Amino acid sequence: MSFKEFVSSSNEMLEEIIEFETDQIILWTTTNAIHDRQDME
Amino acid sequence: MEYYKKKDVQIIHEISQDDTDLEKCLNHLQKKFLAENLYDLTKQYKIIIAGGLGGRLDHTLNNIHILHKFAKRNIKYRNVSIHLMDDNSIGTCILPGVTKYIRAQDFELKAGCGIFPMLGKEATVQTKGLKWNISNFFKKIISNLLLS
Repeated sequence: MSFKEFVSSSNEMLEEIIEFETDQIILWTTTNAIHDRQDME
Repeated sequence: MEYYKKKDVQIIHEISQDDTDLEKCLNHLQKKFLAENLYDLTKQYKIIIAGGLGGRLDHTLNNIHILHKFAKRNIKYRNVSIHLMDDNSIGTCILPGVTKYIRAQDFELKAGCGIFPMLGKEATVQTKGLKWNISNFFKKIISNLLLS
């Protein structure tokens, strides 16, 4: 897989704990599940 | 304001105009943590900023700037993380080194995540636990946004 393919691919969290190793501060974004919840009202 | 008073939320009137309301809140929390010795390294603390994303673009960008500012300032407190949240997204800073991020199962979908370098320069990143781990095929220098 090329980097271009990686960027455009659909990524998801397979594990409950995601491990990062980085050399500087990065912003990590995930998708809020609030819209999928029927009990939020 | 009355709504929060009824919920027994502590309300502090801070007259300074040098900081945004978000910075005032985070500064207060930081002082409280230090004064009450709440930086227990055996525990994980998540500060959730509801409505911290979305809405006006200048406010959102400023909130991300503050997120980075506090992450940099509190870099030794790896057990405290600040999360910006709106109806669609959650964002937090990952500090240099190795970080284990625990997904909030009630609020975070498994699908749809992204990584962005905060300083506008290249970041070297590896991940474990994603469907498409960066380290699966190369240790990538990220110079652009990485999203799905």
